[in-house]
Amino acid sequence: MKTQSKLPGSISKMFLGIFFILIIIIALVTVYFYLRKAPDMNNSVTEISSGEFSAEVKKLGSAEILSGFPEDLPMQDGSEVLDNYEATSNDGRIQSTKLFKSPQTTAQALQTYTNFFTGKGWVRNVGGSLTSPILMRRADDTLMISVSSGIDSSEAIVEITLTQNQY
Amino acid sequence: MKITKRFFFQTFLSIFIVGGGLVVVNQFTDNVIPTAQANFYPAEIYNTSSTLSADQNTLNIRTDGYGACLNTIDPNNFCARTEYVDISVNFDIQRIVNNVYAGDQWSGYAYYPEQTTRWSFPGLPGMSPEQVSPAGFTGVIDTSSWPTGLYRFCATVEGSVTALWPNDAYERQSLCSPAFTITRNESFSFICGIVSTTVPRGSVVQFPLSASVTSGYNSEVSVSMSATPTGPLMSPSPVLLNASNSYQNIGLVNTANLNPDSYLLTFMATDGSTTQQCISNLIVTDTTGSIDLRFNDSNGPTTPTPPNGSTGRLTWVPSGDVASCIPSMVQGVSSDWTGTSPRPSSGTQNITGLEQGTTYIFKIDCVTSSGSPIDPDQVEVTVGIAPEPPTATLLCEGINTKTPIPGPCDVIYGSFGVLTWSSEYTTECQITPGTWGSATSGSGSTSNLTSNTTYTLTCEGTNGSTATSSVQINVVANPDYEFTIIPTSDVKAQGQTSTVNLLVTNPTQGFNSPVVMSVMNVAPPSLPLSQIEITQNPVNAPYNSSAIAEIDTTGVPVGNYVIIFRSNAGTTTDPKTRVMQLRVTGASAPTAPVSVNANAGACSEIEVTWNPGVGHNSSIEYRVYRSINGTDWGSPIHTVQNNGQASYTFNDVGLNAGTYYYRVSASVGSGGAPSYSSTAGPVIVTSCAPSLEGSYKRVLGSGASVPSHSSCGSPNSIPLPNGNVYVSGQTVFFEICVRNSGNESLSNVLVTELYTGDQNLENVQLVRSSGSCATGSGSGPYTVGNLAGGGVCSLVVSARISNPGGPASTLHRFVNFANISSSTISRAVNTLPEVFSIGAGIPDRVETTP
Repeated sequence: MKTQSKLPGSISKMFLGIFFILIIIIALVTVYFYLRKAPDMNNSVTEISSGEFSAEVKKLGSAEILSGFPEDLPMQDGSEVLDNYEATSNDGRIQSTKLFKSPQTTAQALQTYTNFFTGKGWVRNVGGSLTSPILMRRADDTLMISVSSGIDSSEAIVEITLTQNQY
Repeated sequence: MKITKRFFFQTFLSIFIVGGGLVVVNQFTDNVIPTAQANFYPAEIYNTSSTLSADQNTLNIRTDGYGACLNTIDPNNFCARTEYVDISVNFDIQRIVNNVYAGDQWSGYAYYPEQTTRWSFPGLPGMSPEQVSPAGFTGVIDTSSWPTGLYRFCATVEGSVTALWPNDAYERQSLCSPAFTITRNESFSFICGIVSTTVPRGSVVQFPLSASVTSGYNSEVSVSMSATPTGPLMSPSPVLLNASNSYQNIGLVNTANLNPDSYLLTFMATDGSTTQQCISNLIVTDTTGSIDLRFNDSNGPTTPTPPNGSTGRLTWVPSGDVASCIPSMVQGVSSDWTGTSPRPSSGTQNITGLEQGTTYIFKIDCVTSSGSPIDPDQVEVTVGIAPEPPTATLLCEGINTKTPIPGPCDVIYGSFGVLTWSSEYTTECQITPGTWGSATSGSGSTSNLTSNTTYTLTCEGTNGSTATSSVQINVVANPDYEFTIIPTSDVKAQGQTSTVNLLVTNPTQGFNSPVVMSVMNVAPPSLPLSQIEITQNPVNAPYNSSAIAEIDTTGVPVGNYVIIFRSNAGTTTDPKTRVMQLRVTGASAPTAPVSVNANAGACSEIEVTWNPGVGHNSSIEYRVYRSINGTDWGSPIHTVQNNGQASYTFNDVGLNAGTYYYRVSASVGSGGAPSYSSTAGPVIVTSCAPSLEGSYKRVLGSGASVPSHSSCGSPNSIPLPNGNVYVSGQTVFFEICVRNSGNESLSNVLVTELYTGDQNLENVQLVRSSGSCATGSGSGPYTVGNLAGGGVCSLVVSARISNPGGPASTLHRFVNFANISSSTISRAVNTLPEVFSIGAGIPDRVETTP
């Protein structure tokens, strides 16, 4: 009488199951780290060095908050961030620049952001009507709001540069 | 903590704290250090001082005191000379603002680690410890960059000694020198707002420049710029920072003529006495430009919708260095956007002839001023398909159609019609007048119409346009009327004209259509249709005149003709036919009527009778004429056709009281020459107004039943035989005859106030009336009611003879009367007197006046 052992088959199935579980775990871990890494994929750092001057330019994601920027910076529906970066120099300056396209008109955009930063304690260097660029100061920090017309006259290109002086 | 054999096995420690110091009792077991008691000052500073140099650019600091000393171990009081102590000293120069510590302006650190015999001063060049008693530290600090302010120098020492194990000694102490002030001249600090920026060549870069100035500073700062490598220039230059711009301004650098490179821009700011500078990095790229192509201001894909979808406008706008462009088609064909000729770097182009449902991709390739191509741009346009125009259909149903038709429809006056509507490519529809909702299709009834109404269907199309449809509903009367011809028969001698009135009578409400009269047929045809002329045709509402048909019998053979007239022939408006008979006779005059008599009737009436003359037949028409003087006759008052009778009678009624004469003519037909009879009369007639009369008479006889008598017999009053003798209790009967001798009826005729005088009659009762013409009981009143003209009503009443007393020879007399009345007439009815006696005596007949 011929007997057949089932043990080898069971072991093979068991190893096969473990193998697939491992594959799934590896895939999940890979996806996790990929997603975790994804927000930083747009970030890039550029070193600039010339003589005694050196700086580091760091590109941030469009939704990331720049150093010194208020978190509640108004962005109208339809706005499109064109550039968002920080530049830190070895003399203690941190330049934060946000460049974006706004559906507002140039006058509206200039008014919007001047009012916004005024509300945050920034003070214009001169009074009178609003004309781009707007220069503002708060303590030792400086701010420039520059607004120009986009391709469509109905949209505005807004550039906000905030410079913090650490020394 | 490190434990040595020496201290582990041989030292016994006793520690006492006395005042601010620490008293240590040390019991060494091996007697290497025989001192039994030692003073330990692990950390004590008893003086700090600082001194500014004359130019305030340097500060000399000094700290006096012990770091950590164990005089037992270090009898020479050379502190920190043993490996059993651990000492650190912190030095700082603090800023004082409003008498409050505001941070360190400078700090230093020195330490003497255990198991060493050497001080270390990391980061503190120039510091040195004094290794003599009293122990201390000195140093020189550079204050040249310190701003105006109040400062003070402080030192903190911490120390521990392990030599006293297991009871370590530890202490910490701080001391500060008096505050000192540094005063500087007013100055500014210069800041460049841009650290680094990258721009395409051709841009004008804005550099925010600012200066922070000390209080009271009011000098103007002039900023100029240099670049490495050379090339970038700031224009205008210099840029001035002053109080009027709050020491903030913009430096502009045009990169139009720069080579792509990285430039260091050094901005130098000076107020004449002080010069400061800051550096910005400017990277000019060779991104020469870009082009933005749009269709109807859209980057696409876009779907223009007809009817304007066949056209559009392309706009291309450059950014950066764009010199010229060439258009092309990626998909679709548009002659407006093809060709090889360069176009300007910006512009617009109208595009026409785009076909519905077709996708076009317009492309533009541009180059820089140096001829380098830049990224092309394209825009996709898919032309939509125009929505179909809306349609609207409004139909009606009326009495003239069994299915919906585009109109006009007819409805009967005061009734409704039915509207049916449909539409295509619509969103909603409205029908006016009335309330019909907004459905795009449906049906419904109008209101009841009394006038012609036009209904209009208006539908909103999906393409924004509208479609309309209208129907007319005409209100027509129920085409019902009566068609009457007068006369329906006529007799005319040859050559005469028979005139027939064609009448429209009793039209239904609202019927107001013209009624056209015509001759349908004439038989036999020897009476030509051409000899029948109808005038005043058609007959128009309100139909108070008739059409006139004149039949000319000239040349028409003698005979009978049937003429069929027709109204509204050939229409659906209630066509009708009427038949007229015309007899055409010979042209000679007949003989006159004979035996003409006139006799008065009851009232207002004269009866005229005559007999036909010789040769009279049915073609003869008799005409009766009346005159009040026998001379003037006027028009005939009565016409009658000979119908074969032996005699003819005509009752002339309604005459006023007076005298009248009559004569009768005979003619062939209505148009024939008349032959007149002799005159009858005069006849006198009375008026025939209503006349209520009555009589009261005793009916002969007496007894239980009414004696035979002639009801209301003539005469109305009869003389009664006087002298009758009655027995008391005997019943006698009386008749009251009520008569309307006029022609008109009387109403509410009553017999009242019946009176049977002389106190010799009692128990009056209505026994009967002719034809039950009266009702009532007892002595009345008795109701006759209506009494037609000429009518009579006989009432028989009974009465019982009473015994009046007295001798039988006493004569009595019936004196009875009643009133008869109607709504208009009332009069008394009295009996004629009758004398009678009660008993056996028969008196002489005596006529007395009642």
